[in-house]
Amino acid sequence: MMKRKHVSLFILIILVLSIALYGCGGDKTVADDEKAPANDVSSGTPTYGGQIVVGISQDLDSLDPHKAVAAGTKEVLFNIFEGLVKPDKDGNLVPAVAETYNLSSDGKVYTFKLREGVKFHNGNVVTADDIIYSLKRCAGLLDTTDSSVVVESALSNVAEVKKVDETTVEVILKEPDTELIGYLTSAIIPKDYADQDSAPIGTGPFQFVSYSPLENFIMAKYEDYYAGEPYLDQVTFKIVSNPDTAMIELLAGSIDIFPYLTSDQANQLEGTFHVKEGNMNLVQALFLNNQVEPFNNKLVRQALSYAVDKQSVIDMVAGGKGTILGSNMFAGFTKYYDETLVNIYNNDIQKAKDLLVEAGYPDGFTFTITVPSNYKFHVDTAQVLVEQLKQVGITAKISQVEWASWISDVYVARKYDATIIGLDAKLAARDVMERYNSEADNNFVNYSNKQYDETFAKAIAAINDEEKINYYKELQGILTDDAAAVYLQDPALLVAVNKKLDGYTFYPVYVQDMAAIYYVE
Amino acid sequence: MKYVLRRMITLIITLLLVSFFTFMAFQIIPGDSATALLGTSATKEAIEALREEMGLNENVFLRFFGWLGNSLHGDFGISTQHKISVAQLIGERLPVTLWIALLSIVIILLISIPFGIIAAGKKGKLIDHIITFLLHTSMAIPPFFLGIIITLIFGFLLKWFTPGRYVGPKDNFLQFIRYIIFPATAIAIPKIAMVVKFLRSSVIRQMKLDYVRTARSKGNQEKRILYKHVLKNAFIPVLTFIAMVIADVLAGSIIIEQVFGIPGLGRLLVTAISNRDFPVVQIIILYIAAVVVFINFIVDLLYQCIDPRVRL
Repeated sequence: MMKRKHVSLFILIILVLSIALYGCGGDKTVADDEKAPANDVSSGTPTYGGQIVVGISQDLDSLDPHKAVAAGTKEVLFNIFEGLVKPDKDGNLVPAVAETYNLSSDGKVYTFKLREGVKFHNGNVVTADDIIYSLKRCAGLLDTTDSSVVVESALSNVAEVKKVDETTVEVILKEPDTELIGYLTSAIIPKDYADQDSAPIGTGPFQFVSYSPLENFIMAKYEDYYAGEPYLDQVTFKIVSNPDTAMIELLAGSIDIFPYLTSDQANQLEGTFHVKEGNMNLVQALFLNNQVEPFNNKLVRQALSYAVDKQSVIDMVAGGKGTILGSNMFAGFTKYYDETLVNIYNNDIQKAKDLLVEAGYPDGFTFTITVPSNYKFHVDTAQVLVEQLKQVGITAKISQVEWASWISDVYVARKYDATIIGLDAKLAARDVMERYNSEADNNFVNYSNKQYDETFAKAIAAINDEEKINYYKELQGILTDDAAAVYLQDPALLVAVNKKLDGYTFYPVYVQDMAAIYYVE
Repeated sequence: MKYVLRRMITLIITLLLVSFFTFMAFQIIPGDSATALLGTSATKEAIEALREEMGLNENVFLRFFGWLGNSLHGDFGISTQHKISVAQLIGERLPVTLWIALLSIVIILLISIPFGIIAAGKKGKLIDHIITFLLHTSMAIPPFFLGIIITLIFGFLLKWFTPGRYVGPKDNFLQFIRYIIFPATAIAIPKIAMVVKFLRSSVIRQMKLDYVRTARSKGNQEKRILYKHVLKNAFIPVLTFIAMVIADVLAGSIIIEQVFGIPGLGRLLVTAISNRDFPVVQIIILYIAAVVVFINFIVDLLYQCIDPRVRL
């Protein structure tokens, strides 16, 4: 009796195992099917038509471009809206709704000449009044303000937006600012249009079709786009909140493009998909609260910078893909980026220990890293850092909090020891560096350095480009020397693209440009 | 009748308490809808201005009763995150969750009851061992993994459906059912295991009681004892358990919805909580509470049918 029981159990286990293994085998069969050479075209002649589904990992926070704050929303709305100027793939600002612009020699007056024949998706021609309305709305200069519109602090420098004639608009500043153009990528929208929240209208290559919260955002090509209609007829952004689900849907063919692969997923997809690698254009760092003990001590911050082995962080969390950073500027911003700062704090355990002794912490100390739990990448990084810091006698604890709690406790109230996050920025060096100004609203690291503030003021005021670049490099140097944060990396952006598609383009800002995508023949 | 009335009053009081506690919980947790909306562009001034506009600065009790008053008039407010009415937002998702729940419940009942009886009837035999083994395996698999395995087998291997290509009930009802049968199965499997296990042990417990011995000594056949006498008694505790399972399924399955990319209530609830979208959270929680209370009410009535000793 006993023996029979065992045998039946054994047979059962074999049965279950074989089902499971058969299942795994199935995965490979699908992969082989899609490897068929007919689909494997790396680049070919663009064709017009067709529709695609793009997976995105976050729901949109607003359809109104002036209310949206999440990077995950801006990357979608980039296709619907355009500013007076817009970024190109090399990080230059090129005219969009404006045809030309020039800046007066004193750096205080921008004059924009509108492009002829630019139409909104509702068919109306863009007028100077629309431009004035849009700019004033972003700058908070409208008579009736809507507090959910995000007012750009840089635009508070705008004194007046003036209509010169039907196709010319002047933006007059209080103080000279040659970088303001970087903020004029803000969307141009029809004047006094009230349904921007639910049925957005812009001037971009695609027009809004429908939006279902937590499901999808659908857009169709805009035939009257001034630069010629885009290749694809329709693009669906599908919200896939879970990376494993995204992987399944990629393999099943329900998604054609997915931009946030982990390095493991990228390796798995190699061969069945085009896997493109770019930069996220984020500054990922272990940000330290410069006001709390012991991080108010520069030596301690420097010790931490020496204690961390950035390369091994990248190897562990991103499979070696990513760009090491030495200061608060991303590598893609070549004009301002100072690459010499990368090698200032090379991993040196002994030096870190010496600095801790000098600072009065020979036995190390304990602190908490507060990480938003929805960002697995930052949570993983925190885990690697905890291990690395142990080697110099520092005990770090990880506290995972929800995103809304992180915003209110860490980012706004600044009640934390240390945190890991990736900072993004507009295409203006000012936007990248401004948060370290002692008085800045978003200076959540509580950094304060008089020399920095003064240099920053000079950098903003500088009109000469070369002078400006030098000031910004100096600012990066100050941050590195002060070890304001432990700067880690600009993470790699790994994108899976269906083999039938091509044209995927990376930008130095966080956008998904669907106008560039086409089906190859 | 008096009983029904009493239960209705309990239901109302429960819902009132639940809504009050949900409301208070939102006051206690860090972050509010203003901070969640502003994200990294949040500054102290911006938050203050938005809070003022959203009415978050008013007295807590005043806000609660304001919400209550509007809700009683059928106005559930507007989602802070999606800027559309809560009634519309939930109205679009509730049918999806209900259909999946209905399908899962049918699957659970159709499979678990016969299997539970077979396993108990053939206690110690090979078939019982196989069933028990399958039970333990399916209870041990996390729902998430189960979802992936089902996708793998039925989606990739057998190609019975395309993972991720969900069709809404309004677009094509047949396609919709064809798609949700798989998530419904994924939800059902662990529950089936639990119900079978519960039913099996309940039947076995009954079989040891005196009345079974009496029935046997009177010369009744084993089968007749099982179906005629034991099952009725064994069902009483199982009923409560099945009711719990049904309430659980009706509340939506967050994880399975994510794996299969289904826009149901569970997913809406999780997102709404992380965005501090109070009007949405409140209504979903109330729906869940109402489901639980209502199902318990039905169970009590059923008890009376099965066991005449129960007087309500």
